[in-house]
Amino acid sequence: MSDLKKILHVDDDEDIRTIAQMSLEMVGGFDLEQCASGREALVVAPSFLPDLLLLDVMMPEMTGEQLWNKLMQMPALANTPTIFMTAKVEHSFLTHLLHDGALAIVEKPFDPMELSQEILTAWNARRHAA
Amino acid sequence: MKLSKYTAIVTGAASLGAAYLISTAMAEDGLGLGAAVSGVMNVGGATPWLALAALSLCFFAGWIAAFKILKQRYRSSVKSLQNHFHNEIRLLDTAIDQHSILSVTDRHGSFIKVNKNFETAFGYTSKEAIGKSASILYLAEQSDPAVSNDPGDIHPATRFTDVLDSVRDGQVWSGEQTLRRKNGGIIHVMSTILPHYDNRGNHIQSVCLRTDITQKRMTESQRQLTRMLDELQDEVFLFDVETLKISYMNKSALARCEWAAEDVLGRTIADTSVDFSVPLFRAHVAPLMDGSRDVVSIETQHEKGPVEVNTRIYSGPNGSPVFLSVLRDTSERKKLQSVKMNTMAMVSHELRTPLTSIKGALRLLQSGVTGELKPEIKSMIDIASRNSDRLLHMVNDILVLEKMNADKDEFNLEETDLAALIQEALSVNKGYGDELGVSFAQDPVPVRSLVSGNGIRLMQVMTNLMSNAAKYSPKGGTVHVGVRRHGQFLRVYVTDNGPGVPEDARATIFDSFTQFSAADGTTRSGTGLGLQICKKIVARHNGRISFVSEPGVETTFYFDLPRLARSPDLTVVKSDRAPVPGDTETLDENTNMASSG
Repeated sequence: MSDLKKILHVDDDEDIRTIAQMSLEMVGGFDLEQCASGREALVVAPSFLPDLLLLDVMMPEMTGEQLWNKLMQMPALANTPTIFMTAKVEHSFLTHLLHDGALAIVEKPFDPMELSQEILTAWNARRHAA
Repeated sequence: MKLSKYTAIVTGAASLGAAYLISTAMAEDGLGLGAAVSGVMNVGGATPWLALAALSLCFFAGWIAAFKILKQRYRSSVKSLQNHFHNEIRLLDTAIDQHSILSVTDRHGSFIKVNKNFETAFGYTSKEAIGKSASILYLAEQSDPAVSNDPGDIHPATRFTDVLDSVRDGQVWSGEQTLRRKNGGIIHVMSTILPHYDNRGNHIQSVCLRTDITQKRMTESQRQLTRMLDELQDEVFLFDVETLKISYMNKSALARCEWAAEDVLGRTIADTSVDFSVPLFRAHVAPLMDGSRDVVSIETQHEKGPVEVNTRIYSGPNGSPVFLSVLRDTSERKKLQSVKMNTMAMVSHELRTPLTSIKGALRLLQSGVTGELKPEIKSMIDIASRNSDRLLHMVNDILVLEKMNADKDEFNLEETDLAALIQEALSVNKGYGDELGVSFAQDPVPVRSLVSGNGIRLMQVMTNLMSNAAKYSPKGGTVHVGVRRHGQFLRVYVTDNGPGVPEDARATIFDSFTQFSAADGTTRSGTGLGLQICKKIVARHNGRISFVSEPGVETTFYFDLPRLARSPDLTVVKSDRAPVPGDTETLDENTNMASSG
């Protein structure tokens, strides 16, 4: 199993995308692609073929969870590990996502200096478990 | 002659025999007198003189017989009359005893006998009353400023000596009196006092019959008031301070209990709700009893929704103290509150996204990944960063509060050891203390002090109280933390030597957004929501949170949680510190006590 390189980040908030970009590219050194909506992500993902999906939960039109379900139906992306980002930390909802196979949940606001490490920790835990 | 003499003797003897027969017969049924006499006449027909003598004898015997009969009749009629009177008197006695408040006093006015009605009306048992002077019932004999400061104001009818004098003079005393019950309450009675004399005309005792007319004395204005109370939406209860027996419930109260007005008689306030707990109620009203508070209130859940109950002691219609509880349906208010809270939560939620960007940007700048910063710029960025942190805390606190208000919070209670909790809280908060130059010290705590609690939430309370204490402590100061037994509760306390809580902030310190300046006029950073969250959490544990503060000397915040039965006796563990001051503090009344209505 390869190391974590390519991350597809989907968030409707432009500023958060900018922060996440600086955090993941400058601090984490990942290969990052970003989308502003689920619809856009459905176009980008099949060609980008990310190692990891980083999805905002609350997005207009298509929620992070709906997007995830759609991406998982694509054979090329079916087993892509997924981390959710959310400002809404409700225990029952988080349990539900994790139960459905999400790798981790990152709480907003996140610390841009810690985000990459947080993602890597979850990634490695998954590898050990696999 | 010899023969006639003989005949006369025989006739006399026959007459005697007949007389005896007659008397016996008459004694038996009193009839046949004529027949017997004519029989004798026939026997004595031969000699008229002898016959006359025999007849006289016969009459004489008849008189004896009649006397005998009359005597017997008289005896039996006296006996039946006696029986009759005896029954009548007994019936009369019973009637008086049932109807009246009866007491018998000796010539000095001391009780010799009192009946059941007396015991009920005045509150003295017969044992307590007998031997005591009847003056205990009279207002004028007791100095009570509530009645009158000037003895001249008192109506003669309420003066014991006046009444006694009048009775001693041989007069029957009759009239209305205002007397005092054992508990100090007032009772209005209609009294009739009859003196009783011996053969020589000496006054030996008095019999006193009284009727309670307190109810009748209730004035029209009071009845008007009652009618007005009946129109209220709020439920109103009046009940006895000692027995908790209900004396009045307004229409709303009766309607909820599904009672008719007469159902109130003989019932106590505990009958109004299945959840009513007398010990909890007594604990709740303790501040009323010791006079430290005029009114106590609790919020509780009733069968028909949330209610708020305000209870105070009120001087009832007959002057004796009663509890006055007013129960208000708070469901509308709760609904409004929850709408308000929901809106706040929504706004807070929305705030988290921009905060993510602000904090993220500042963090990246601070870290230097975007390039080195000039010191002046860095200090500005630090200020922005600190304040964005503060904003985030506020937002988080609001969300936690909203969750708890809406009961959305998963709140599992399990056996929790407070000693272990304190230990953990010390290690969790040590870092924060170090930053401020304040150390935490643990007072000796019992090995195991068990409560039913939610560890995570209780830790939140500890962290809140400890960080507050540290924030307000002087540099180099020490914050003492410990747990000790407090009645049925375990009291966890956090004591600092900071400036303390100023007088004007004490009442509202546990309310939302009350950030206050400490007694030294300084404020510390915080959201102003921490203590409200603590209060909510403690309330969820059926506990209470409060504080005692002596500005500049010592301030203790503490919370009491119901002790689990298995918890060992804490009195064996001695603390080397002075005990936390007692119960003279502002108590948080919003504990989940059973309803008082």
